[in-house]
Amino acid sequence: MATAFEYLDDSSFRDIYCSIGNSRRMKFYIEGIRCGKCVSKIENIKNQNAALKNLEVDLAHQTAMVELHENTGSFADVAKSIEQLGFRPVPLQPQLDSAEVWNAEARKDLIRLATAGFCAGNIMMLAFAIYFGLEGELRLTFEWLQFLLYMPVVFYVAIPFYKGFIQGLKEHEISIDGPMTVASLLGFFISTYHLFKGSGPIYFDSTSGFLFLILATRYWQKKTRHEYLRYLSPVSLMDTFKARLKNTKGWQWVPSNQLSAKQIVIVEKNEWIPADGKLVSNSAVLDLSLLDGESHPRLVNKGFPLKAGTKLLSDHAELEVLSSGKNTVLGHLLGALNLSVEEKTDSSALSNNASKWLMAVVLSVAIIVLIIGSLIDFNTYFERAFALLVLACPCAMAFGTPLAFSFSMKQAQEKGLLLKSSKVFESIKNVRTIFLDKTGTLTGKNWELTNSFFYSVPENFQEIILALEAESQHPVAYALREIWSEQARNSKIRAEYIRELPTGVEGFCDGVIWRFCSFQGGYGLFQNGNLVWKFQLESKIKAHIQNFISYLKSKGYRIVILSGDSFEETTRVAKLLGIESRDAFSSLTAFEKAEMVKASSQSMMIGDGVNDALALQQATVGVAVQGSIDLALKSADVLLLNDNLDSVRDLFEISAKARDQIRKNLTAALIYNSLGGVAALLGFINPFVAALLMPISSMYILATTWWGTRR
Amino acid sequence: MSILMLMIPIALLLGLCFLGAFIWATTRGQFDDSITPAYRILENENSNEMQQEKL
Repeated sequence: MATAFEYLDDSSFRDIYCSIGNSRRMKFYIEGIRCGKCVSKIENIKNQNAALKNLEVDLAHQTAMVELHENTGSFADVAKSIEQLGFRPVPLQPQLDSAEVWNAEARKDLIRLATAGFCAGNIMMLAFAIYFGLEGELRLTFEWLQFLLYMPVVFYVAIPFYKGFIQGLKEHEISIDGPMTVASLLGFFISTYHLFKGSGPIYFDSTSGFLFLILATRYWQKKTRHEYLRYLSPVSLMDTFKARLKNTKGWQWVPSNQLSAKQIVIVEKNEWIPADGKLVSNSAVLDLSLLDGESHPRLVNKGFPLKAGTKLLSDHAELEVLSSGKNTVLGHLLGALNLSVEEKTDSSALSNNASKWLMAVVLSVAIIVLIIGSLIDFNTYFERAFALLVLACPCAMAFGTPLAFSFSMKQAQEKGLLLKSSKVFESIKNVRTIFLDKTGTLTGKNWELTNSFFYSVPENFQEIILALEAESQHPVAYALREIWSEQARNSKIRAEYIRELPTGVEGFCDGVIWRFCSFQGGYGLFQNGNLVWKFQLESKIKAHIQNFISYLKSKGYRIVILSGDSFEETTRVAKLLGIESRDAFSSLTAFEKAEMVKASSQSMMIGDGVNDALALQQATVGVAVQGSIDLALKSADVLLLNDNLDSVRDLFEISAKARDQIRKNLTAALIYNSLGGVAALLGFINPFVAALLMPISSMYILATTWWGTRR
Repeated sequence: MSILMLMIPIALLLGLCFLGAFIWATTRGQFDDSITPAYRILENENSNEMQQEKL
């Protein structure tokens, strides 16, 4: 289907989609980009289009930034060229572009990191000279230079730590920022005091060093995590953003959120309804699966209330707009979902009670030593307490846990599970009940022919049925036209004197009377009154589901089916899977599903479609299934990239392994801190050595975590 | 050793210039995308040459 892109050059669309402040640039999401070759294929369009100044592809976010030479250039041409290469370009609204938000944040982090590295590196160079025995006036100069270079560190680089510390205090939680803030400020004040006094050790090098190392680790973690998150944008709903507004000359494209009430909108076959309104043409067949989860196409008549997000299956329909944009049911649903794509990184909070406890102990010991020691010999005991803090700070708590999570997330991704955050690994431990959506999750979205019995030699029965149903708007006709799409295209058979019956249709074909109607719970084809073929149309259960259900049962989870479909369908599927019928709920709306999930604590919800988005949000762990609307991905914690529900089993296993590794890391941290801490307190380790031990212990944690979380 | 009094400030200044250049490049978005440039270097230059041959 060749999409017309002319609307992209229309001023009302350009106002919405061009970059803010620059109407020569527009960013597109490119559906279908997978590999590096695609990058050069698309960017080569630059060489063929003179009006194009720059075309830059971002593989990680699957977007392309188009920049024209002039305001008068055509975005439509570029979009068409991209489509001709086999990709599908979709314009992105700058306000909704989360990549820009991420970039802005990442740049700030990078600059902070660079400054930290610059200062720490130069401070250390100056400190080295002093360690190797520099004395006199030059030594004083070097110490003052260190102080100068530490200014940016204390007033700029360390700010995230101060913020984290204060945040932690507000929430009565000990975060890893706590000891680091204390250590760095303490080090700063004491060092400055000694500097002005003219004697006594200074610690600018250790503190700036470890701040830099911690920042570097966090930056790397954040980046790695971000790279796993595919760019989530509601691509499937993109077609609802533009509408064909009827006017005196025919129609024109307008942004759908600019539609006003009483306007008439035209919708063509297989397009999405762009606004809420009333059907003013005679009849239409709709696919309501997006909003209501109904698996059957529905025939509706003039006057029927239509909702944005519904797909039109029949040829042509006109609707009178009632509400548009944010005011549609779909718009409200989107608003109800928390649309934050990038969750707040919680790397500073200690996820584990054990690590919190350990940190508290270290902090208290350091303070006690400091207080008691200062009565004896301030300098010595301060140095020891300080060395203890520097030694204990990083290590397993600071990044052992996030590291284990990062590796596990990567592993999960290889198994086809995309995790939005590492919280899943912990929260999945407590799950007791598994809620399953039916349509699209347990069963395929399309119908399949089952239980087919022939009572006579099969001729071209399919084509005859298609001929009989040629004019029919009945949902079954649509289903059959789709299942037998090839025959539908090539069939030459025509039926005459077609007569509609209460349960089916009858007609004349080549001298034979054929009847196709409901029969014994399915459908039957009769030739001159004799049954020649009977079959059923059912939505088929996806492969591997049975394995998954057995696994869940063996682990003692309670399994519940939530469906918007009929009682008969739902219980049929439940029976097939061996799930008790009291745990199968039918005819539920999106809100009812959410309520059920909310009522059960410790739940996992597996579903798809917009109708499951609210329920996915309510679950402790929400899993969105592939083939689902990108919208559901915004409300779920886990996205299933393949169609295999059994992969969720891998999720359970990877989570257990991750938690295991974290336990091991914490044990190592305990040992390291105890031994090292005692050594520091006894004066065997000075702060500089402690700062050096940090990368060594970090390497150890890195190695063991990598080893422990590999497949 | 008094030369150090000249060298140290110059060294720091030089270092600051590099830091400044890095910050400038970062704010202009050079380091935003670290994945795609890796693929871009594998790009075939032939397509450009073929264009020219056609002429």
